[in-house]
Amino acid sequence: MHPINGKVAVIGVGWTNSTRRPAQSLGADGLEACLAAISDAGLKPSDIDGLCAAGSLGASNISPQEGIGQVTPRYMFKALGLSGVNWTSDGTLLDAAEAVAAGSCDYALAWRCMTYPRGQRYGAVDPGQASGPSEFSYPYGYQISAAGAAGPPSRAVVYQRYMEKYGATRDHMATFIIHNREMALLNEKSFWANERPEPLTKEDYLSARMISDPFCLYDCDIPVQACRAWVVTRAELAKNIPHSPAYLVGYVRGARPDLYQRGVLEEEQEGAIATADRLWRTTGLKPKDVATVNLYDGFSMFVYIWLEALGYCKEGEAFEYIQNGRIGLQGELPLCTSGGSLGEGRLWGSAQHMEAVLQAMGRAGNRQVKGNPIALSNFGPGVGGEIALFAGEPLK
Amino acid sequence: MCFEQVSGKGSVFTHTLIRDTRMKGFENIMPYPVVLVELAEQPRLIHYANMPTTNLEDIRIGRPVEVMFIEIGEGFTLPDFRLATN
Repeated sequence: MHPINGKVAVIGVGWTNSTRRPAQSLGADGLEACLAAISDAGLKPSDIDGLCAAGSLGASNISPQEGIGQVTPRYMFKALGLSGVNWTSDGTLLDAAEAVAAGSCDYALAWRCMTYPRGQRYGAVDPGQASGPSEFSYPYGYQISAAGAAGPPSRAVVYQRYMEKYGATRDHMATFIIHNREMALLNEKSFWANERPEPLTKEDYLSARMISDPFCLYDCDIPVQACRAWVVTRAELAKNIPHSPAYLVGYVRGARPDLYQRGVLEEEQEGAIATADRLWRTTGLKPKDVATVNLYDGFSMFVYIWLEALGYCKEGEAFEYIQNGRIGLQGELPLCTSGGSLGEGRLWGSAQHMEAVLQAMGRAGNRQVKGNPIALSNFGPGVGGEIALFAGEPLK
Repeated sequence: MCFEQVSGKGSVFTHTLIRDTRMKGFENIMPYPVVLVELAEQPRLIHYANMPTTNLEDIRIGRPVEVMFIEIGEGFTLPDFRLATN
């Protein structure tokens, strides 16, 4: 049993739908989603005594202005009209969970606002500004990253090696991309449901513009503006609330900090395996105990790495495992039921965590899976990724 | 930690063809290949390359490669790679 089991509950959720035509500022999006989460939890803003903001990402040549490029605890504190809190942090939902488990605060508000720079290249870099490991890759027009976003090429090289090593083709991946679009169209939060409610055919996928071989446009998540927000509290405070809570029953993050993202397939696999192994070991659960998995698909091929590392199939078999209806809502392993990052938009793990929370709460609507309510979510590539497990009640 | 001389030999570990770059200065040469070369001295010791003198269809995982040096500007020399000659 993981030590967090039974200690922390998510009691409120809020969001703004993913859009590429924002009608309001990012700050307004953040406030709207956070107020929705607070209200969903049956609370008022003054009940919040912890603030936790996960970062956004913009073009490197745009300074992140408060309320425009980012929404920090400083901004939200003022927007909510708070007079004081016990804890603030730049972090994710899991940081907020740690804070309430430790007793640092009673009701932590966690959110991730994401935006994209209109008229700019997202994540654009000037090779003349190389430092650290980049000094050895920028001269070749290639981005690597010690900890952050590095763009399609550094993931494409991982996928290329995967394909050549195990015999996977873009035809195999089409199954996941089409499934993902179907799930996105069932999810009102998603970019595709909101702004382009059209299914994707295999022909659409195979003929799409190539970005960095073997990735085409649809293997890369789409930059959007949106916010996802949660209210997290200690389990004993999750009583007499409007909705059934989602309990955090286990998580692992940063299992292999010695590895960094430089495009080596085997290191992505080792990072993912270390993380997944610790999840099963610390929770005592097995892959089949989980009803649905929301794997990070900021780039499509991460899903292969995680499916294999988590033990749903063997190394080099994920591209075959996902075929024949296995990952559909009625299948053996409903996968990325919200449409993931490819479908909801580039939300850096908040799409995955939100879906697992909603599934565990039993509030995923027409995407709700049957069976036991344990739902898995994860964020990140194999190197540096995190995995969380949510359930409708603490594990016994 | 210290510098150690290497042989300049290795093999193609993996590669991509970049058709949509975000790197200033590389827009005009798209599409361009990026190759991760695994040096002969040590597994997973990676050097990056563009293999500018090699046909794209010849860039395949496992192919032996060797270093070459390209002058990219006055006083700036960049190590790159090509298919091994023997």
